[in-house]
Amino acid sequence: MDATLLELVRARLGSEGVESTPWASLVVAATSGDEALQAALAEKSTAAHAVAPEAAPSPSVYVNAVSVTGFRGVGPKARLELTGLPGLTLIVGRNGSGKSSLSEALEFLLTGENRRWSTRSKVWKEGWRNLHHTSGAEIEAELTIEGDPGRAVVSRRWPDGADLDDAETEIQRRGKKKAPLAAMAWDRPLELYRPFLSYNELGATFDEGPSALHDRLSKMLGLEDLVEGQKALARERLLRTKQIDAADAALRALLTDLAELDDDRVRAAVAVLKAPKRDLAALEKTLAQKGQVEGDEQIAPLRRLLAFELPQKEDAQAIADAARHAAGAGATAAQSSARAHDLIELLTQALAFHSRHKDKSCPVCGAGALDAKWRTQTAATIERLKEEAEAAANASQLATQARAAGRRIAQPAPSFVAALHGVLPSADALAAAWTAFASLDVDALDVLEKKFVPALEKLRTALDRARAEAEAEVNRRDAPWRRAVALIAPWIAAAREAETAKTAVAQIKDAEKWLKVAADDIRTERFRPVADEAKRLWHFLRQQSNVELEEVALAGSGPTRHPVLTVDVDGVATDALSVMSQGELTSIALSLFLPRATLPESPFRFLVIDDPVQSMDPARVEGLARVLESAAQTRQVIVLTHDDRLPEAVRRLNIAATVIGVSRREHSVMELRHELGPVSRHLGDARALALTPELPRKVAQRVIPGFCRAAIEAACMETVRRRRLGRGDAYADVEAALADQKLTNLASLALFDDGERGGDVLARIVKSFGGPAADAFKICSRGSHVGYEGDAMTLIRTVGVLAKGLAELP
Amino acid sequence: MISAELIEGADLLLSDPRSVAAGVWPRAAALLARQAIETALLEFWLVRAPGLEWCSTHAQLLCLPDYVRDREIAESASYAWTRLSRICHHHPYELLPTAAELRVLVDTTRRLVGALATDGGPPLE
Repeated sequence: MDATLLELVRARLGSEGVESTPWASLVVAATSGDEALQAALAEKSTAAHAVAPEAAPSPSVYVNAVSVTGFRGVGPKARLELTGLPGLTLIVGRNGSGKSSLSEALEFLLTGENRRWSTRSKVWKEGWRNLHHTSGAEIEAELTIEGDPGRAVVSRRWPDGADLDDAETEIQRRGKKKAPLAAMAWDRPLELYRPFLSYNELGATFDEGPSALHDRLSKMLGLEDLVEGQKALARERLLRTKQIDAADAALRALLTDLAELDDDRVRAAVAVLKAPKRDLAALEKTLAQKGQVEGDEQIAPLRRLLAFELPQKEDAQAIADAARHAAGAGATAAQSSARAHDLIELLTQALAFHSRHKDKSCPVCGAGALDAKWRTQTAATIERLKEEAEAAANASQLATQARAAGRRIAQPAPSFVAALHGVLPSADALAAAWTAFASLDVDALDVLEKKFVPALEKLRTALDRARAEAEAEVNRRDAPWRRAVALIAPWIAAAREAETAKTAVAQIKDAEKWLKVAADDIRTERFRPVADEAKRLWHFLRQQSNVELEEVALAGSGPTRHPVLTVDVDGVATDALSVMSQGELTSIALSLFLPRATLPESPFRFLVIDDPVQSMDPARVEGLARVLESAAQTRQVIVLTHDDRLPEAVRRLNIAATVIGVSRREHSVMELRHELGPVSRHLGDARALALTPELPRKVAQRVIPGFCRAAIEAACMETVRRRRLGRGDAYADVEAALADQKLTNLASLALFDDGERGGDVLARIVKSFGGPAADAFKICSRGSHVGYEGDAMTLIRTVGVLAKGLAELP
Repeated sequence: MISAELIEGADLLLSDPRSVAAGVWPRAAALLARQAIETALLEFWLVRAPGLEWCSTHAQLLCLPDYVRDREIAESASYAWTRLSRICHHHPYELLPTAAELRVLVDTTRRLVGALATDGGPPLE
């Protein structure tokens, strides 16, 4: 996820004042990634605001050397020494010299593929091994990675017999462990800013169709997150639309099914379902109520019957037992109760009489005697009578309790029993049993004892039968409704999801609409520098052609996306593709893809262009050389070419460049030789003039020191760049240190790594390179307006030694 | 003014198909343009650095940037002269230049001729 892009989107939302709309969070989430979008749609919106930390920019990368063994056109090991610095390097070799194998090897090493082969047949891919060197294939590249203390080595070795893909590419950075190249995370930048460009690719740029070209151009703008965000939103919208459609279809099926169910409650539910504004909550409540829906008067008594509980048999039996007990006790005690009371009173008084008047004959009967013996007997009699009276009282209480309990249980039938008449077959039998039970004379203890339990059990039997009938009846009556509930309940869940989906779809649509406009705007904005650069490059490449590149833009979206390339031909605006020659199209392609490879965001400070001249109008070679020169100001531009027009142009236009000749002997033995770096070229020009006998002396004195001076400057710059970039200085700092420096300051930088020690330069040159070198340096630094009267060849030779020494300083 | 006439001749060969037989015009135009460069240099050196005109054109072109205000035209002329020389000489199997390339070379020549005729010398240091 691109944090910068996300910030841009947020800022836009803010500036339009829509950041707090519900869909704005969807826009942000969609731009943040799929996970965030899912979370936002699930309304865990906090996750959508989490921003991944911005990745540190990748350090700049230059190429110092490429070694190839047994790969395609290269047999025994060939080593291509490069500068590892910004500047132009031309690798010149005839067709078939194997130079392209070098660039293909580097491209394959870093990207794991090659544009030129990717569309070719399998046979082509299988023939990657060199025929003359079938064992130990290897590619190795030495890279300068900005900030690293030394060179990094990227290598890929194939065991004998291994396939092209059967080897791993590794990177060994100074002071770090050897790691797979993937650890550098170069995949994405390699795709976005591909630093490899071949003539096939340039030529095919416009053959792939407008949308493919649009994609390749927009890819480099790093707007994938926006594109992906748009795709993700569309995907989510589609998902939900399907959900809504499915719920609608399910409703239609549901209504068809419900129409067949004959039940008032079902009909009420259908009415709710058909209402324009469905009240799902009410419907759900209705479903939960099960049978207790109004409108069915018969089902309520059935349910009450089912819920009714008759007293337990054990409880009834306890009442019967109590009645029996009370009856038993009461039979002996009840009738003698009054007499016992009187007798207890009489005997108690007799005892009191005996106590007061001592032994006497009985005053009542006169025959008996009231003596001690009598007294003991009488006290016992009183005790017995008291116990009998108490038992009688207890029995009476027990009977009262039993009667009350019996009364409580033997209630008349509840109201629902009458309502069952005509509904259940055994309703009348139940009513009769109930009446029989309720009409028992529970005050009679014998009734309680003997008839109470049987009547209750009879009622129980009748009730159980009725209950079984009721259950069947309830089930019969409930069946349609239960079926309806079973049908409606799952639909409600789907309908609820669909309702949520509808809200989400509306928001997603808003988010999509906004994001589309924003993406177009941001794309246009980001593409502008590329477009401007393309126009600038075209200006060089077009030469005196009457075709002016008017507009470069990306337009449309989806299947109609295409780049807009409008040209102005003699004042008439028209589409580039319709009027341009293949050569012109190649130039346009180069104009479009050079800016891509040289975007400041790219970590790759090198750029390999394979034979741009091949498919290019020769008229544009000079322009091409200028374009390459301008790119080489900030990039290590490596150009492979098969003809000498480009090197010629570079030389004649006085463009600083390193030229390396490639030739291949038999058995794929590759030979690489450095030709004319900037230092030797300047010296060569000086020598050519010195060897021109007709050259007027005044002209020679004026011009030759200029070339010598340029040679020394080039040598100093080479050393300073190599040293400072090599130890990890930022490229921009190095170039700033070198910009607009006088010769003495440049030499000071080269000699002391300090531009302020110009005063020590001459002394150091004397010490390191000798007095004559210092004299030559003095002559060169005076400037061309002061003539030099000495021997030109001597000067050039001395400067040659000095320049070589300066260029080789550590 | 001879250089100006030569360049007009080269231009005519390019723009008017009736002027010379087919197949001959590219090399003829190149020849005229190259002579225009050499003549313009001659005319220039006579005024600015007498004696240089006796040197090889290669040497003259090496010195030229030091004597003109517009270094770039001097460099472009150097490339144009090299290309024109190559075209003028017959190389077996080498294809003739396209009209477009010749047009560029002739236009560069024309710019050089114009620049040298009006050049007031290099900026004072």
